[in-house]
Formats: sequence, C-alpha cells, structure tokens
Amino acid sequence: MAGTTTLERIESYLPERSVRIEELGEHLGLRRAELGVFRKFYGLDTLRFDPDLPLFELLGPAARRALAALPAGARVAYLVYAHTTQAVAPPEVEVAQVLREDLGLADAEAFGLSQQACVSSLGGIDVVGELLRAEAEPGAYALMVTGERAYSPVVQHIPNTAIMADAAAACLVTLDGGGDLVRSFATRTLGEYARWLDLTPAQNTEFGERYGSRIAEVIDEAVAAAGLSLRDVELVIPHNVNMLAWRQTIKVLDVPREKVFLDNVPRYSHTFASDVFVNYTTLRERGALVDGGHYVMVSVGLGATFGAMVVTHRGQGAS
Amino acid sequence: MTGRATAGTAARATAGTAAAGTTAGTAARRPVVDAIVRALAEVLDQEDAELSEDTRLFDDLGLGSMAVLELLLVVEESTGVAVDPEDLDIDHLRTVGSFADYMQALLEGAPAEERKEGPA
Repeated sequence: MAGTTTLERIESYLPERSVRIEELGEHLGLRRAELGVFRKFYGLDTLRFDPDLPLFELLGPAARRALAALPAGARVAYLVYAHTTQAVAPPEVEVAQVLREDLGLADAEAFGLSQQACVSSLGGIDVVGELLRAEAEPGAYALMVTGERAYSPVVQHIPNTAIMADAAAACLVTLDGGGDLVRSFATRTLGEYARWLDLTPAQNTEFGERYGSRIAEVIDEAVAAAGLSLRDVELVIPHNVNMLAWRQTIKVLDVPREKVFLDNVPRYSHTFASDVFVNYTTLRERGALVDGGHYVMVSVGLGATFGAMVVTHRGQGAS
Repeated sequence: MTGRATAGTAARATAGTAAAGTTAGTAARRPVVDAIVRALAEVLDQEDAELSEDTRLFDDLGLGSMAVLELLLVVEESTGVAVDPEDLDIDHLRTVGSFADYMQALLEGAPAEERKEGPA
C-alpha cells in the first residue's frame, strides 16, 4: 500500500522542576571549570530535572494529548516507545507494554526502539510509517512516544558533550492525513563509534572534528531527497546537545545562525530523543511554524547515527 | 581554581622556550604565550610539560574540546580578555602558537574598546 506518512499531532512534556547546571555540579562530579565551559561555550544554563517523577508520569501527558487528536473510531495499530538509554526501567518492566495498557491501546502492537539512540524517535516515525504502508488496514494510526529520565550521573553527563535532562514527547502518525507531511528521512550510522562513551581519545577528537560536516551531509541528503534545497527550508529544528556543535555545523552549512532554532539549548538542554519534538512544540506555541513551510528535524545519536527528517507543516494537522 | 590547579607555578617550558618554537614571538606577544603555557601546566596538572608554539593541543597533548576550552577560560582570566563564544573558531586553538595569535589579536583590539568607555 502506498501513502505518505503524516504527523497528525506532536506534543511534548517537560517536568516543572528547573535547575541551573551549577546545581548539578556535585551530583555529576563536575568541576567549577567544567561547569564554566558548559555555560559559556556550550551554551547551557537551565534544564528540567525531577528525580522524584516516575517514568510513566513523565511519558503519559504528551502521549495522551497526542492521542486526543485520534478521530472517533480510528484504531492505533502500533505503539513505538523510542528511547536512547537501553535500560530505562528495571528488567521486568516492559515499558512499551505498560504504556500500551496505561493509554488504553490494547489492540496496538507495542515495541521499543533504541538502536539509533537519540535518533530513535525520528527512526520510530519512519518505522511506523513503513509498517502502516506494509500491513495495516487503511485509516490506521500509530503513536510514537519518547522520553526518559536522567536517572543516574552516568546517564546524565556525557563527558565533553552534554548534560542530559528530562522531557517526553509523542507523535500521532498516519498515512495521507491532514497533518505535517514527512518528505524524507536520511540517516547515516557509523559503527566505528559503537562503543559509545568508551571511544579512544583519538576517536573522540576525530568524531568532534567531523561532527559538523557529518550533520551537514545528512541534512543535505534529506533536503535533496525531499526535492528541495536548504534555501527552501524555513528552519532547522535541531537537537539541544550544545551550542558548540551547532556553531560548527552552521559554519559548514553556510547558513545564517537564525536558520537553526537554538533558543531551547539554554532552557532545556539535551532531552535524549525528545529534543526535536520539544523544539517543534515551542515553535508552534510561538506561532512560528508557517503553513506550507518546510522544516528539517535533526538529531545525532551515540553509537553513532546522524539523522534528518524533512517535514512540510500543514496548519490544520499537527498544529 | 581547584585543588589540582598549579596556577602560578612555572612549567618547564617558559615563555622564552615556547616563543622560540616559531618566528612569531614578539615582546608584546610573549606575555600571552606565557599565560597559555602557565594555563596548560594547570590544565595538564604537569609542571614539567615540554611545550613549544608548535605543540598541538588536540593531537600532541590529547586534549579534548572541554579541556581546551577550560584552558581558554584560564587564559581569559589571566589576560583579562573575554572571548565571545559566538565568534570562537576552535581552529584558532589548535596549537600554542595559533592560540597566542588569536588572543594577541583580541588583546590588541581591547584597549581601543576600553578607551571608548572612558576612564576607569
């Protein structure tokens, strides 16, 4: 079955508790000088972090708001829980299955995806789009849910790179609906970085030096696959890892800084696989998404996967 | 700054040694090179590092971006020059010499800015 993947509703959720990065210094074992670098050069300031908030209370609100856009009588055929950290709950807890019960989606096939780390949420949309095309009945929907907690210092601090934060998001997906059109999705996975945080210093240096050009390549690939050029794109909706990464990328892309939406880097920091959806909802709430405008959602996952998805916003749907 | 810091202690490579690495050393530039060498000793936690202007911070010393930027913060503090992160090009910080060139250029721009603001 043919059909274009459409994003019918995108929602996000941020815990209320906001902390300044300096408040996490002792918890994360960060020296004053490291915090100074994170603040001045990486552009981090505050982030949402609530260790008392259970995982399912983090995941629920955005998922329920996205499901509210489901037409009466329509069926959700797939529920995908996209996450970065492989162990987000005790081993006896199947997060996708619990979520299915919590959301009352007993008919949905529920599964988790984490292979692309922080790109898994964009990857999850791609996967459910393919499943809807391949085997679902016409008019079926899918729900992609993402969100995880920075539950341990090991998870929360990525040395030289990021301070992770709490957030969740959800995206209701169907084929040929009225929402944002998914025009293309490009990824590049580089298995030589599969050891995540255990790379050699030489690998870390090389990864850092080529980071901007590799994001630029995948953005260019996605934009070209959508039949567009970067000039046609209203905004890049990025991950919130740090400003250093984006300054480098903006230089390679040779675009004005304003072309990349970076306002949430100092506000929310990097929220695993939720960043692009958190940023999307911020833009929507500001009335900054243009009907018919093209946007590139971009993320990078440890391991390492670079991913970019081009969507065309349609006001009557995902907004 | 921290317990491991060795600020104020001299690395074996003095400013003179470092400046001898290239022909770029000038009298005005020497204090900048000196500040970088002292900051490197602090960040590396080594008082006897062998350094020259050709020393590559990433490739020879194995510093990551975080450590190099820590170094920059220390040099900012000691020279009184503030780098605008939006204008920072990490390529400027690849070697001791290029780092010194970058800071020297900022230093040379700084007095004019201060004069505009009037007397202290």
